[in-house]
Amino acid sequence: MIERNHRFGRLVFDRDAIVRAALRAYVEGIFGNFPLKCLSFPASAVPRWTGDLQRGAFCNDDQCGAYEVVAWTEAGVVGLAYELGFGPIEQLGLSVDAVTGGPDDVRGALPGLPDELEPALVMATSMLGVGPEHGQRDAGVGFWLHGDHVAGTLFDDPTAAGASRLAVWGLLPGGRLWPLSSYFYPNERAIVLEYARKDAPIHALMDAMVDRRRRGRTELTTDEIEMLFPTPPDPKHLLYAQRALQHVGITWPGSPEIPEPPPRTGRNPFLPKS
Amino acid sequence: MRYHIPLDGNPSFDVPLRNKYIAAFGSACYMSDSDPSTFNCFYKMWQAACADAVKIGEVSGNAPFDKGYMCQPDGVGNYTLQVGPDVANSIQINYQAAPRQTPLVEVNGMPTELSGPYRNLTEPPTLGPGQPFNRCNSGMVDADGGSLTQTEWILQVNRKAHGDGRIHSDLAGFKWSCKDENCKTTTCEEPDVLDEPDNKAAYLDRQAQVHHVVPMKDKRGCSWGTNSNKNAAVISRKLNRHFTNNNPPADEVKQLNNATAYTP
Repeated sequence: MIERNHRFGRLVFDRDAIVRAALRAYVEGIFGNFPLKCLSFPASAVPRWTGDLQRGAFCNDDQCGAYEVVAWTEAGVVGLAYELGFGPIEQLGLSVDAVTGGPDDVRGALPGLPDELEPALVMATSMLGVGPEHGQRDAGVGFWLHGDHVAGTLFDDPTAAGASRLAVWGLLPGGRLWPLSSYFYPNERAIVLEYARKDAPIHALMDAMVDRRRRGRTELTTDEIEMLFPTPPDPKHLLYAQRALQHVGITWPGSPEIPEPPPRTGRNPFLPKS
Repeated sequence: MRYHIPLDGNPSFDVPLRNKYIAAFGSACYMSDSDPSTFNCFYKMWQAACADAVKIGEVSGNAPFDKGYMCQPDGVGNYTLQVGPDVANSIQINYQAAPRQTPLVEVNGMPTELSGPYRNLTEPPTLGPGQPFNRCNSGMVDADGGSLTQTEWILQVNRKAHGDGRIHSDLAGFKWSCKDENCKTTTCEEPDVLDEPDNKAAYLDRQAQVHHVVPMKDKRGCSWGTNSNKNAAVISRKLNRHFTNNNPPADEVKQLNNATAYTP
């Protein structure tokens, strides 16, 4: 764990706290967004996850074009963020000729990255968007955390576009990631807190579920399912949640194996019909 | 705060001269949102400001500036660039507040205000340039009394409007130059139906996103487009990435302004 003062406040970076908050934001995003909508103001609009709690990554997409990724291994954490128009070419000085489509595109956001965090960088990069013109992996700001060292352009260029998206990973009140705007707009924070109080039983359920999962693979209990779904959801929506939770080692009672959806087939929907 | 370079001539009124500056200095130069609107060039980095400042003479058609001089800091955040043999022959690059870029888009030669298909929706309680749509509070609640963010509300209105519960692109049929899987240049066309923005979308590029037509931030990283519902359009992730934070194309603005307004 390490503390740093920043324009966004006193940031505390802790590997285990980041992994827990990522798992919680993922679970909250599954239950909190359309179609299930079991609570208001989930921290993540479009959560994506890869890997597990030892080595994995979480992408928090804002549904409007911006996102941040945190990736972790036993050695620490790599964080990368993007806002539309502020990728490595515009913000990190990457030349178009130097684009590789891989981790080197965004390495400029992580000066001094220790070798031990290379696998985390590779995982983080795999979740970044790809630039449509040059094929670059898109992130314009980053940080890395290794033991009691933290660095990156989040600190070297604190006004960089996307910095706020990363700073909040050092601000996890209650062990949670909160909706981004609630960190920076007091009126929004008040509304989020009001709804968090109303949704307190669901949030307590999320905390319990996440903490059980941190100790090992876990199942939802029937009581938890009743609380989440006072009326049974559309089976199609339920299947979506089951798949998404199975992805992080949380299953339904009896641990039924939910098959993955069939792979995407057919033509590219953006290209003209031939 | 951005670095301002002093342009020769009067590009605020002289359109051909303005176009020369835009051709040479690109998105650093823009018309302001002020009244009267003025044309200036601002930079985030002083190095970029100095690199362009030395070209002002030749770009404007006046005597070229002497090259080979370096920008010198004045100790209070500004820079001076000598442009002739006499040390007094220098220009000032000031670090100052940059006005907001005009949100009007030139359509058929006319500065045009965007008024997209969500124009009839009640505006959120907090509105302003540089604000995201996914700020928490749209001021609306769903059928269960839960609060809706602005993005959720816009998507909900879109799903209901088409009668099939699916999200439809507000720019269906829009064509743009893109690259195919083999990196060959081709023409992409925005599909009509988009995927839900959940984490298991069948085709990531086809996920629905709520797009700021006038981008939230301009090229200098300054606040630009607002989170007004008038400035929103639901489009694919792929098209949103194509638009990035460039000036909105006139074709896009025409299509959105002509679209039937959604009703809440």
